[in-house]
Amino acid sequence: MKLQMHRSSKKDRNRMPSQEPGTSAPSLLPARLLIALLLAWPIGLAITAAVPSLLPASHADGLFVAQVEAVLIMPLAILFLCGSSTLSRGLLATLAAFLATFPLAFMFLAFGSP
Amino acid sequence: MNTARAVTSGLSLRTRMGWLHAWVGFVCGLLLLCIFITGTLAVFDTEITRWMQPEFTGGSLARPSDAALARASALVSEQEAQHHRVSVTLPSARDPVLRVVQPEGMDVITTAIDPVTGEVLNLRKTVGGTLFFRFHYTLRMGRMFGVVLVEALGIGLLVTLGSGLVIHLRALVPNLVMFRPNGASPRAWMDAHVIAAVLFLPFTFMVAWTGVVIHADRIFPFTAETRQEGGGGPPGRGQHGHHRDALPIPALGPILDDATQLFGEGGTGFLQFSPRSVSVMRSDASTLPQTRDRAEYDRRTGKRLKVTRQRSGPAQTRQVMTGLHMAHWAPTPMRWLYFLSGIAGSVMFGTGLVMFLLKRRRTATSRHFLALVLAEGLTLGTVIGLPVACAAVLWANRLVPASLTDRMTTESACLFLVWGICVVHALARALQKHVLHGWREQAALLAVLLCLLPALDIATRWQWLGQQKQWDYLGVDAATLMLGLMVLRGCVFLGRSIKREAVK
Repeated sequence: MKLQMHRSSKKDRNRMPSQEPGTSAPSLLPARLLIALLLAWPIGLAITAAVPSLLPASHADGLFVAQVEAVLIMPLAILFLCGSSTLSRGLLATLAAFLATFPLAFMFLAFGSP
Repeated sequence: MNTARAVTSGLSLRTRMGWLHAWVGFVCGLLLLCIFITGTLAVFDTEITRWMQPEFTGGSLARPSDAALARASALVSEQEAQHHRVSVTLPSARDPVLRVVQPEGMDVITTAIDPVTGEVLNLRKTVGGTLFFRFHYTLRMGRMFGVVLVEALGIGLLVTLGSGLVIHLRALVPNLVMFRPNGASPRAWMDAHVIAAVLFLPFTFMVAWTGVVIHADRIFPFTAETRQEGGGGPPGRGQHGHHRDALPIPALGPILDDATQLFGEGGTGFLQFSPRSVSVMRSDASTLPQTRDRAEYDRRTGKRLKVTRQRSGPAQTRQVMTGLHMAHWAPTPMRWLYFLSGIAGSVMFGTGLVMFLLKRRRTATSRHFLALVLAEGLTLGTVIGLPVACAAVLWANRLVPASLTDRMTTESACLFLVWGICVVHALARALQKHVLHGWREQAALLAVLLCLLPALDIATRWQWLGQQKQWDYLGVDAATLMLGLMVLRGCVFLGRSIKREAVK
């Protein structure tokens, strides 16, 4: 039994994604991706609009920090929305990531504030 | 609806990420591969331009003489009178001439001046490495739409990398040391894909992130406008305006001397001209951060007006990110590392696209036949067709007469013409259900074009061979020969696959 388990886990490790059960039936995933694509840009835009006003830096510097964050959060939002088991959980995770950009913004100032 | 929801929530994370990785990877991958291939070539854009101007023999790294600067001034004034934006690049180790640079649509027209004698060098007009560089970030679709599209694709790349990481996270280390080229068909492709992706993951992530951040103003235009108003944008922007009322250009010698004192020996990069001032920009090659520090001089008196240096934390971070992506600072060995990483990225995309098709081909029904033909044709037309087209540009550069008036248009048209032919050929082969033959034919063409390029170089550069430094030419020739031999090896492999399929 032990040997069997070992074998199956090794097989599983080398298994390609398409060989996993359920790959052929993604059902709502295209709709989920569409929602994610529609939400990603507004999320990025909201970050670039809000973060610069929070930072104790020049607008140019604040905007750069915001853009760096937005460029990371946009793909993360897509990953969260498509990867979560339900849409509501995905939305919650995306909201959490969005809110996390605000305290994170201050860390960029560790390089030296103006 | 509830059943469908149950099916979705029943899927494992890896399965959901696998679906996302496959589809976003395929849809974005075709264009991302083009961006990666041209970006890889753009690492050596200056060297490629040199290769494409085989008449070049001179050059000097010394400060340009007053005669050379006066000649550059005269050319700039001529262009300004015709309302053209012009800049002057100063001699550097990679390009030891003075160049008057004038953007012309998607291309750049340069006039090379000998920095010692001040003579205009009689070099053929060529799109040079700039063709690949501009294609890399605009796809030749304009500086607005093209850049925004590339930005969106960059985000797609980050999604693909993230989902790929989730899929392979469990077996990341074993996958790194496992390459089975003789394994069953999808396994060999999978191993190559994973090795190329995982080994070069830091590089791929770096270029994707920094690449999107560099042009982030384009995807967030409403918020970026305020930055421009605040004057914190990249230096030089909005300063060109109309040159109708431009003042005469003062003597550039003293200006250059003063700027050299500010930025150090070899620290000056290029000059920009606005109607009221002349700006000397710090060389991008001098430090890793692409600072774009500039000294501005009055065009009436030639006196220094101000020096702009951005040294805040975020500004320095931006400069480092830009420098890392552009690699203008990089010495030659580091450029080769960028080049190799770019090739690895292209291999990652190529193998990923092939795997996507291999899996779908097995399960495709007659209903999906046309979609599959289109996907297979576009994949072949991109993976092999674009490199064929790039090689064709180099061939056209040497075969089209140097005196032809529309040389630059001919060269850039050659890229798209040959690429188009390759795509049509690929689609036709896919329609005939002989796509593997198509792969072999195009790969054979690519191997021939690449392997014979050094011979073409020597045959068409013979008369200037003794007066030139050979490193740049040798570099391009050796790289094309190596790549050609690798493609030839792939060609043999494809031939065997076709034979095996015929036996079955």
